Formats: sequence, structure tokens, C-alpha cells
Amino acid sequence: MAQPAWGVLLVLLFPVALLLAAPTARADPYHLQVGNDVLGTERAVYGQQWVAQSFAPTSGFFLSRIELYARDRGNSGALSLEVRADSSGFPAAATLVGTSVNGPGSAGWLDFELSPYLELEQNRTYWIVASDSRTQSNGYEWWRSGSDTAYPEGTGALSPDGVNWTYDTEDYAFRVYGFQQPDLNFTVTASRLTLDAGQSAEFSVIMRNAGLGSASSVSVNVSLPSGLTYVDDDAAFIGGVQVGPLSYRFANLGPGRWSFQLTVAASDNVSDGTVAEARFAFEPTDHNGVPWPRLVETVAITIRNTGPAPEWPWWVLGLAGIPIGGGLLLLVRRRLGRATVEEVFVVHRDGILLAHQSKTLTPDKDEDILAAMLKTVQDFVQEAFSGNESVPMRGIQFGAFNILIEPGRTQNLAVVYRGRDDGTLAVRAKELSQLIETRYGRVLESWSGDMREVRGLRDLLPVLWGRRPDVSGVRGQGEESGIHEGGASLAVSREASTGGDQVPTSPFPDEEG
Amino acid sequence: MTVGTTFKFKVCLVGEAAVGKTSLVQRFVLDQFEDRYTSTLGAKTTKADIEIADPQGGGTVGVSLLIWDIMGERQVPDRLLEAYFRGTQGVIAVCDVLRVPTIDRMQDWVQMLYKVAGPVPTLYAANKADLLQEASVTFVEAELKARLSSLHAGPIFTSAKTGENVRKIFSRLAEEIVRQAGTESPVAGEA
Repeated sequence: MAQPAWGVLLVLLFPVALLLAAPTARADPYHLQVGNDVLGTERAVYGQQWVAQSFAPTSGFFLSRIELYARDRGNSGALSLEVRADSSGFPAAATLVGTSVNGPGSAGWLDFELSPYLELEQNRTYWIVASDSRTQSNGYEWWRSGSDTAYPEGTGALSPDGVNWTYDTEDYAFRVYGFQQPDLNFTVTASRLTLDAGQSAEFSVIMRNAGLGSASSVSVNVSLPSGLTYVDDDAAFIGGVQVGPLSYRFANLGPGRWSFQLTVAASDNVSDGTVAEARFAFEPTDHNGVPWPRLVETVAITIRNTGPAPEWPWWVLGLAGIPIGGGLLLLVRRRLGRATVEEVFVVHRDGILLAHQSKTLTPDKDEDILAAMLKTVQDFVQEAFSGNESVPMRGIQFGAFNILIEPGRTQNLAVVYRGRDDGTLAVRAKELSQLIETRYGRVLESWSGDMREVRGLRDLLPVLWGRRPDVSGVRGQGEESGIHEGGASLAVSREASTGGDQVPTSPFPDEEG
Repeated sequence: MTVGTTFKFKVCLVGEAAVGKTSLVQRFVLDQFEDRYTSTLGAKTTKADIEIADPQGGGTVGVSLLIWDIMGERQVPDRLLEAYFRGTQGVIAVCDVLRVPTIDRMQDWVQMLYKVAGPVPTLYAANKADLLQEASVTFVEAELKARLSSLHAGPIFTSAKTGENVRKIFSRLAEEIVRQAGTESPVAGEA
């Protein structure tokens, strides 16, 4: 087999990159929701012949525009369009929304912009009703589809007066446009509520969109009090654009959960016990850019500052400086090497996902399919590059993200992280993999696909975030894990929470500060 | 994982190029990656969540079928195919009812898979059935049986175009895998 070009590898990594892709939904009110483009012959719409077509949205949305394939037979007359509810299989009497448009004499899609936007319910039947009070020779023509099954969820209907209706034998050509709104909420958590002067803490800014549509934009403006100074942030990882000092704008925030970290340090020129209140103002818009109310979250940090050190003889300072300097060097090394774990997958050696845990949601992508594709990519790379040796693929790097793959005997552990691993993460992944083999290896060796047999495996994964694995529900088969846990507990960020669920801001809280 | 999923199975879809494998799965699976991955990697995975009768009686159980759609062209190296086939728990072999050579090759694919994964539950899809005249069905069925000597069950006529039997073939395969798994290694309790 020919050796694939490295460019091919980039293509291979695309599915993996999708795992962490930033939101890309478009923010405009005209997304095609329902339609029937099949064109047959035309039907006249005039004073004695009202024409209607029913449709049923498969999900709820706000109606913004309807298009009919039509033409004006006469001169400069308007075609009226109404949207009505359904009443016993025919258009109800009342108009929900309507408008009229003066269309051209040539056939084409005629736009009816609707205002105000009408909220349509999922699986409920609505009718598009077209009418023109002129005579037949001066009225409009609306194109039919040649069959009643062109749009199986709806049907055509005719009426002499807009009140008494009979079914038509064919569907009509129509397109219904609309949009879905986001459903936003915001929370901020901090990795520490109390800081010594000079110490740093990370704020996790969490934006959750539980709706079906994207928000056109969300601006986040951060105000830090004098006791806290900005260190860095990673808003850009989720598409944030800095538009001013500590001001970020996120365009087209799609459904799912999006979070970024902002690191601050406590000043050393404040008095002991100072309470510094960081303020996070969120300015969201709806799907179409209409501003929604501003929301503000605050997080209070207490700063401890016991003042300058007492006057020590120079030789005491010199002696003390050695371990302190060493400690600082170690701390800097650790900080530089800090990795932030985003996702963990445990994949059976044959490609079936056994367990998955995520720090951030991954909208639109199915974890089972991702795991299977990852296995496929692994197999492909091994075949392409390993020759006759059986060398497993151990990692993938793309942009700011890395995937560490820890191969086990019966499963592969895939850890998606960003930042640089100083080796700590690799060690933990190896230990976790060994723990999984110890507890589940026998089952996985001849696993039948029964998920009940691996119940509890997911509870082992938090160890990669530095948390104590929850093994209370696991009936393990013997040995202790040997995994060393972080000293600090997640309770730190729980205390700091202003609501919502908790996500550790670092995989290794014990290594903070 | 789908809420309520009790089983997850790896299944392969094999057969010659252009017999309609990919179209067949697209009728009802969760398909999130573009088809170009099939031609780049030689395989693409999709997923179908279905419910089948609980083999232990009463109610239904959820099954996720992870489907490896294997590229039909014979350019994929055998070693890579073996990697994809490893651990397969069920297979659907697909042929085009109007192209006799694809019927013959169907059994080659199955044998190749058996060498790696063992004699796993297998179903044969006689695809593009919508193109058959009614009178031809019996003839084609007889032809299939004659050509596939080891075919225990008759082929299932499918059509990606009309959706005929597409869901049925995946459900039946899931049932067969569960049945076989139950026979070979009884469902254990919690690990």
C-alpha cells in the first residue's frame, strides 16, 4: 500500500477536531424548516378559489417567512397569505399571521415576510392559505406537486370562500422558514475563595445554551477590583474575541455548554482580610441579535496579607532562599507543564465505547461514534506507518489540543487535554488504565457487549481531574488502585459557585499555587 | 450512550462497491461524519439505536449497533480490513440484486470476516429490491440460494430507496447477536 501523505492525516484528524469545535450556527431568522419543492402543474387562486396547504413542523420554531412557487396572472395585484391553525383537518377560521405580496408575472418563489414572528409547535398542523379577490384571469397561480405524497405530512385543500373546504388531490410547492431561540444561563465559579497575597485563582465562566437555536452574540465584561489582577485567560479556545480590556464577545453561541477560564492573582498591597469582588456582566442577544436583559454574577475572594516579613539577618535569608527558590522553580515548572483535561474516553479494544466523561459538553457529536472513529483512525495509522511492527498509536496533536492514548490489554484510554503535560497526566492515565484492567480486564477479555457488565467503570474516570474516584458503587475484583489523589478537594470550587454544576478548573487542584 | 442502552455491538457492513451499503445504513442510522472518510480510511462508523425483545423475557432492551461501513473497493489492504473486522459481533453482507458478480463476492467478504472474527451472526441483504419486477423476485431468490451454499437463512430483500426491510434487517441482526451471546456466555451481573 502506498504511504499516505501527511495531508491525509489532517483529514483524518478532522473528526477529532470536531469534538472541540467552537459553535458555528448562523444567526439569522431565515432557516428552512419545512418545505416541498416538487413542481407539477399550476392551480389558479382567485376570488372563488382559495387554496391551502397544511404542514406540520417536526420541531418547534418561530415562523419568519413563507415562500410559494407562484406567479401573477394579472397586473399588479397582490396575493394574500395567511397562516391558520388546523380545525378538524381543514384550515380554522382565524388567521394567526398574514401578509400580502405583489408578485411578478413570471413563475418563481414568492417571499412572504411575516411579522410578528409566530411560534409554531412541534408536530402540530398549520395551514398556509392563499387568496386573491380578483377574477380568475387576473388572479395568481400556485404550483402543485403532481401528487398528494410529495409532502406526506400535509395535504392541499380548496375553498370557494375561505370557510368551507375540501381536500385537493395534490400537495402544493411551499417553503417555510424560521428560527429557534437559545435558552441561556450563566454561572461563574472560582477555584479558591481565599487567596494569600500573590497567589492566583481561576474563574470558570460557564455559558450554557439549553435551547435549540444559537445566540447571535454573548458579551462578557469582567470587572476586577483593585485586590485582583488579571493573569491570563483562554476565552479564545471557545471562539471568544477580546473586544476591550477584560471584555469578550462570543458570536453565534450554539446549543451546549461553553466555558473558559480566567486567571487572576491577589495583590500584595491590600490589607489582610480584604474582600475583593469580581464582577462578570453577561450581555446576551437572541438568535437574531436582539438584546436580552443583562445578567451579572459576582464572586467574592478574601485576600490574606500578613504584611512584610520581619527583619531577618542576611545569612538566614540566604539559607531560606535555597529551598524557597527551589520550590518556586518547581512551581513554575509545574505551571508550565499544567494540562487541562477536557474529555476522557474508555474504548474497548474493538472500538466500542465503554465509558466517557467530559469537562465540557460536545454538542452534536455522538460519543459512541467518536470513539469508534478514533479506533478506526488508530487502526489506519498503525497500518499505514507501523509496517510489520505492532506499534500502537499513542497520541494525536491538533492546534491547542492533544489526545493521549494509553493502550491497555483490553481497552484504550483516550484523554483529550490542552496545555502541556509534564508527565503527571501520562502517569495518571497509565495508572487508571491499569486499574481498569485490574477491575474489568477479565470481563472485557471476552466481553459480549452487555453494558451492565461494565457498570461503574465511569466512576473511575474523575481521577484524571485529580478527584477521588467514586468507587462506592463498584464491586471491584480485588486490588487497590495505587492512584495518588490530589490533596485539595473539589469542594473549593463548590463553595465558590454562584449556581449550576461544578467543573474543576484544573485537573490537578493540588498543584495550584 | 443512549439512555436505556443495555447492549452495544460492533457490526460490519460488507459487500462490493456500489451495492448500496452506505445508502442502506443512511436510512435510519445516526450518521455524523461525511462519506469521504469511507474512501480515506477504508471505513466509516455510524450508529443505530434500536429496541428488541428482552431475551430474558418481558419488555424490550435497548441495543446500540456501532456499524463499520467497510469500503467495497478491493484496494483496502487485508491487514487493515482485519483490524476493522476484529471483534465484530455481527455482519450484514450486501449485494446488488441486478449485478450477479456482487452476489458471488458477498460470500468472499463474509469468509474474510469469519477468518478474523469467527462465525458471527450473518444476514444477507439483497439490495435495490425496488428495481426488481415482481416476477423476478422468486428467480433472484433462487439464484441467491444457489450461489450462496452456506446461506442458512434466505436473503432479505432491501431497498435503501423505499426503506423496505432496512430497519428489520438491523433489528433481526441485533436479536441474533443477543441470542448467540446468551447461548455462549450468560449475561453476568454487575462487574
